[in-house]
Amino acid sequence: MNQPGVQIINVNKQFGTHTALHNIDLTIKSGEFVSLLGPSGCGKTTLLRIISGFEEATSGTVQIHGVDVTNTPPHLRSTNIVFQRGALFPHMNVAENIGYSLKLRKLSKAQIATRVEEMLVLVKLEGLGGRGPSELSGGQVQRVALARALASEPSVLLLDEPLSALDLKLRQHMQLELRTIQRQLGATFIYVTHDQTEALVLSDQIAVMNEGRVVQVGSPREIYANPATEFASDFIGEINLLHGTVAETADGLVHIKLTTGELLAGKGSNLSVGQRATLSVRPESIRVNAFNSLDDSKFRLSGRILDIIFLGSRTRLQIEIAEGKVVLADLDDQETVELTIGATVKLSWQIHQANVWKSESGGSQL
Amino acid sequence: MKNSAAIRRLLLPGISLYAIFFIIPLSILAVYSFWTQIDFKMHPGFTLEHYQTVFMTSLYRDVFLRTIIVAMLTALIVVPIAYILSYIMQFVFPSKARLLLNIILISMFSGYLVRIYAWRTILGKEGLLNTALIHFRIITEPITFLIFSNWSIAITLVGLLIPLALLPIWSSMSNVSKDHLEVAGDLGSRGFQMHRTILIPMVLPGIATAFAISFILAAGDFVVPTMLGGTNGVMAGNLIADQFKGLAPNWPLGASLAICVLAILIAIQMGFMKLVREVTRL
Amino acid sequence: MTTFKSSGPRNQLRTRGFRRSLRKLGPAIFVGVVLSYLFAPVIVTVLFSFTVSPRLSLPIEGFTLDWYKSAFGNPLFVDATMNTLTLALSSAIVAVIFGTSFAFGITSIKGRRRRIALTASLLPAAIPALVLGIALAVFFSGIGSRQGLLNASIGHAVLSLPFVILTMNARLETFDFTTLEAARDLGASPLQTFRDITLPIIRTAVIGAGLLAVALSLDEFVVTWFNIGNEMTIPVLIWGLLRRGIDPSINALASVVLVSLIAIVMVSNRLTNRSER
Repeated sequence: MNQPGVQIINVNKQFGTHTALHNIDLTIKSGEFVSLLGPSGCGKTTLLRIISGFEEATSGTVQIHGVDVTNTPPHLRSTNIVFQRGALFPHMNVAENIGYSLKLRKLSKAQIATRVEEMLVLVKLEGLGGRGPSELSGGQVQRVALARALASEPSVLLLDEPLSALDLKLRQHMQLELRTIQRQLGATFIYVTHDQTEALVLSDQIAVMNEGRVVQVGSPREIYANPATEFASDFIGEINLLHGTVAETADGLVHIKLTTGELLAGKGSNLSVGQRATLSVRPESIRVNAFNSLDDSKFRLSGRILDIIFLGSRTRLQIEIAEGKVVLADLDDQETVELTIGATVKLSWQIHQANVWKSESGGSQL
Repeated sequence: MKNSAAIRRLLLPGISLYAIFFIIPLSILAVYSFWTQIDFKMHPGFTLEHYQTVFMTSLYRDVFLRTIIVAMLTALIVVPIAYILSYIMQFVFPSKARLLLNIILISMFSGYLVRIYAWRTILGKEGLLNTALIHFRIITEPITFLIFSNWSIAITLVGLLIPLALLPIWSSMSNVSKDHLEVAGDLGSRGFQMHRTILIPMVLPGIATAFAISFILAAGDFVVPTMLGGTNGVMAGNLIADQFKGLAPNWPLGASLAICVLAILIAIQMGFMKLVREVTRL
Repeated sequence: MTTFKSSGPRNQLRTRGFRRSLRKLGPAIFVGVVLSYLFAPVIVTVLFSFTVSPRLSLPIEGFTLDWYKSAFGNPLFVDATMNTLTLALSSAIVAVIFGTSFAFGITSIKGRRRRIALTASLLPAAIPALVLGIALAVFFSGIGSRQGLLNASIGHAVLSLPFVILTMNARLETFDFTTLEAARDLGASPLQTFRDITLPIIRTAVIGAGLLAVALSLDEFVVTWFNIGNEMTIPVLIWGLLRRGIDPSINALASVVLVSLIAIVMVSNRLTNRSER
C-alpha cells in the first residue's frame, strides 16, 4: 500500500494580495490517515478545498492516484468531503441523504438500498434510515455525513473539522470510531483540525501547518519528540520555552545561556555561537528536587513554586524561575507530597529531552 | 472565486427590470417636468414654469399643504394604533396573535375600492351612521361634516392603513421576547417609560416603515379624495391624476407635481426618523 | 411565586384570576373596537349585497339576489375576471423568477453594500403607486407600447418585486449553502444541485412569495388604471361602476371576491400545514 494516494506538488494559493498557501509539497500515501494540523488561518482548510476541487490553486498540481486532477471540478473528482456541520440535505431523510451520490450515478433502487444499509451498519445507525436530519443528535448528524461521503467509495475522504461542534466526551468517542472505520475500509483520510490532541489520536501522519506553509510532516511520535521548529514544538503538546543565546556547540549538543543568566543544554544543530536561540523541554520531562537533595546533573534551574494544580492523572507545578517567567513541571502526585507553595526547588532534566533551535520571531514565551 | 462571480450574475435580471421599468420611467418623468406641452405635443426644453406654477398658484399650494396635513394626521393616528395593537398581540394575547393577524388581513379582502365605497355609504348624509344616530334619537339633524370633507378622507384612510402599518411593526415586535420586557421591569422601567426607552427603540425599524407606508399611501392617494372628498377635498393625488387622465392633460405639469410630492415625502420621512430618535433617547 | 395561605383560599384565587382577566379587559376592548372599525366596511358590503334599499342605507326593505344576478350578468365581468387572473399570474411568475434570482445574487455581497442593495430593491414600494403609474404610462408612451395588458402586467411585476425580494432574502439568510457544496461534491452538476437541493428547500418560500405577488396584483387599481387603456380588470371595472353612481351589484361582486379569497387562503394554509409534516 505504498502507492501515492494524494500528491500535492508546489501548490500556491493567492486571494488577491494575500498568499494563503506558499509552495506546498505534500505526499499522502494511499490508506493513510493524515491530519492537517494548525491554528486558524494557517491554510489547512484552503488546502483541503483545493484537494476537493472547491478552490483552484493559483499554481501547482494536485494528483490523486497518479491522475492530475488540478482542473477537474468537484463533482468529477473521486474525493468526498465531510463538512464541519454535516451539511445534510434538510428535505431528505437519512437514507436519501446517504443514497444521493448513488442516485446521481443512476444505480438501481435495490442497489442503492443495499449500499445505504451497509453504510448505516458501518456508522452504527441501523434502523434510523427514515429519520429526518432535524431529528438527529449532533453525533448522529456527523455519522450520517460520514456515511453519505463514504457511500460512493471515494478514493480519498476529506474531513473538515467534523467533530469541532461536538462536546468533549462525544468527540473522543467519535474520534475512536473514525479511526476504526478508516482502518476497516483501508481508505485514505485527510483530516483538518486545530486540535492537536485530536491529531495525535487519529493520525498515521501529521502535517503541521503555519501561515500557509507545511512546517513538519511526521508520525505523531516523531513530531512530539522531535519537533522541527519552535512553532511545531509549541503547537503540539505543552512545552516550556526558554530564550537565550548560544554559548557553545558540540556534537549535536548546544549550550545556551538564558537571558536570566543560567546555562543550560539540549539537542540542537545548525546553530552558531551568539545566535538567539530557544530551548524547549516538556513539562513531563522535568524533575523537581528539593533544594538540598543529592543530584548531580550539571545544568539546573531553580525557582519558587507559585502554584500546585491537581490534574487527575498528574500534578502540575507552576514554578517561577525569574521575574515573570514561569516553567511548568508535570509530576506524579506522589512526588509532590512534600512540596509546598513558596518552596524553592531545583529543576533538571536529561539533556536529550530538551531541544534547542533558532528563535522564531513572535514565539510565545513562558 | 469562480463561484461567487456566477452567483453575482444572478442579480442581473432584477437589476435590468428595475433599470428599464423603474429608474428610466422616473427619470423620464423628472425630465418631462422641465419640458412644455403645446397642443398635446411634448416640447423638449428647459423651463421651470411648471414648478413656478406649483409654488406660486395658491390653489396648488393650499392643496399641497392640506395633503401634507391630512397625511400627517392619518399617519400619526395609524402608527400608534398599530403599535398598541401589535403590543397587545405580542404580549397580552400571544396565543391568539396569529389568529388576530389573519383576521385583520382578511378585512382587506373585500378590496381597496369597495372598502372606500362602503365608507361613503356609512358616512354619507343619508348614510348608515346618520340614519342610525337619528333613529336612536342621538341627533336630530344629519351630521354633514363627515362626508365630503377632510374628516371623511382621514377616517377612510385610517381604516385602510391600519392593517398595512401593523405588518412591519408586528414583524419587528415578534422578535422581542417577553423576557426583554421583564428584565426592563425588573430594573425599574415600567409603563410609558418602558415603552419610550426600551420597546420603541427595539422596534424602531418597524415603526419607521409603518410611518413611511402610512404617509406615502395617504399623501399619494387620489381615490379616497375622489370618492369622499367632494369639491373641497381635493388632494395632491387628484391634481396629479387630473394631468394625465383628466379633460385637459398637461404632462409636464403633472410631472413636476409628482416630483414635488416625492421631495416632500423624502423630507417628511427623514424628519420623522429624527424626531423619534430624539424622543427615544435616554 | 409562593401561595400565601390566607382566609378562604378560593376567595384568594378568584381575586387573583379575576384581576388578571380584568387587566386583559382593556386590551380586549381595544382590539374589539379596532376590529369593528376595520370590518365595518366589509360588513356593510356583504349586507347590502343582499338587500333592497333605496340609496343603500337604512331602512332595509327586503332581501334579494338580484344584485348577484346583475353582477354575473354583466358581460364585462367575465372579461375583467379573465384579465385580472392573467395579470396576477403573469406578473407573479415574473416577479418570483426575477426576485428569487436577485435574492440569490444578493447572498454573494456582504456587509454594507448588501444592505444598500436591499434598500435599493425596495424603492418601488417607497413611492406612491400613482407616481409609478404615471411614470410607466409616460415611459410606455415614449417607447411606443400601446396601453393594455402587457403594460399593466409589467407594472404589477415592478410593484410585486420588492416584496418577493424581501420574502426570499429572509428565507435565504437561514439557508445553509454548504448543502449545495455537499451536493456538488457528491457528484451533482450545478443544474442537478439546483433541481435536487435548492428548489425543494426554498419551495415553500417561493410559493409564499408568489401568493403575495398574486394578492397584490388582484387588488391593484392605480397603476393598472393608467396603463391598461380600454381593457378591464375587476378593480377597473368596479371603478367604472362607481363613477356611474350607486350600483349595488358592486357589493355582490366584492362579496364574491371576498369569499373566494378567504377560501383560497384557507386551502393554502391547509396545504402548507400538511407539507410541513
